Amino acid sequence: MPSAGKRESLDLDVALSHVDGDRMLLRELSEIFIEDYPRMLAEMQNSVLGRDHATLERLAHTLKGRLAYFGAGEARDGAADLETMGRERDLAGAWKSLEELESAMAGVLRELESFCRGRIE
Amino acid sequence: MKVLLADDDAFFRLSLRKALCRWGYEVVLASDGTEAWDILQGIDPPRLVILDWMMPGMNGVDICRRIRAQMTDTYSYVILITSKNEKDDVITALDAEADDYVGKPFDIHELRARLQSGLRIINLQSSLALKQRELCHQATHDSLTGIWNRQAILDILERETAAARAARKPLSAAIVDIDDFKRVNDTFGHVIGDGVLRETVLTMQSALRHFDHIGRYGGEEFVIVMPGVRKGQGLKIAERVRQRVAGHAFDSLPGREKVTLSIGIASDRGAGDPGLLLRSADEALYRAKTRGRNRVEPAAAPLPRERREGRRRLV
Repeated sequence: MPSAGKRESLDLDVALSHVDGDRMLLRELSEIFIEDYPRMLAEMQNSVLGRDHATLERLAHTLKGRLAYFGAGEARDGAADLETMGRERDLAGAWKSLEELESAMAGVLRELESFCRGRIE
Repeated sequence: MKVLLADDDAFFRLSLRKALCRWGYEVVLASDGTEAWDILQGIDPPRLVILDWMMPGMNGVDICRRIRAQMTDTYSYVILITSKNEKDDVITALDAEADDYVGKPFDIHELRARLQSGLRIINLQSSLALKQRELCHQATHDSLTGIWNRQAILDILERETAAARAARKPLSAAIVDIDDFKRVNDTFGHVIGDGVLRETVLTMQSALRHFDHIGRYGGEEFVIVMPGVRKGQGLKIAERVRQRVAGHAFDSLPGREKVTLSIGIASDRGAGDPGLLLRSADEALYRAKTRGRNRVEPAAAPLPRERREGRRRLV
């Protein structure tokens, strides 16, 4: 079986190891991730604007867990920073972190969509 | 084996549920802490519990603390799963008495192995609990007849006497002796004698109320504790027991011979002295024997209340 391989923004080998090699399941999870992300991002943006620290912490925590699942190191670190800001109730620089996260997420989403479009072996 | 999987993230619920099903577990899902806790309070809840740390309603650590605060004889094996992985978080998880801790994202094979460890602990605990129940039964029951043994019935008498005194309710106790039981053993042997003891107990039980207590006091002697029963009602119950046995054709005896009982009964209206109650019943039993057997005799009139209280003050 060819390796899904480490890509620029995520590592599908890592992701496959979490589903015990079940590509169908990984595609299903990728689709959930792709579908949920815009809502999660919008809610995080609203929580920063509304200074809702608890919601920011919770959403960033969830996103961090999912990104780690896909071996998306850079985006995961960005989500972890936002989680810390929410927990420590210090949102200085949160908007900038959100923009950096969005930038890192663009690559993650592109590669997940590519995986979902690909043939399941 | 049922597993509770509590995670507020549908993404992880799907991922883990699939893996758990593949490994042969029956998965019960909860999407927040409150739902997880409700499931754990239900009938026959899962004993293998996977909790996400951060959940709305109640977090995984809180649930774990609540599980441990409950004193049950069935053990829940709790694995906390979370993105938290700092040392302090591990300490928090273990302080909450979680059995294991896995950081997200985890190696799926590692989780499988950890669940198997959990299964071993649960199975071991179940065996120990079963053994403990067996030992507890053995320690309190008469192996021949299956009723309370001497120590257990005396403990019950003491407890019921105290309860009756506290609630200002009456209590009666009887001592029962099988008449001429030595003759049964000498004539037919101990195997048939044992059968007679078992059959006598079953016959006596059929004449008692379901909340009366009966225990084997000695060889062919039994104690019956009757909560809430005054002298008059106690005599009626004892007489019913005597008649039921006297009228019973014993399958365990050749020729289905009859067996009779002598019964001494004492009643107490709040004196709270189990020893006195038992001695009074024993004296009455002695009279039943000397007056020809196969009869019920009440204890002599109870001590006046002031004398009883005076006696208690001396104790």
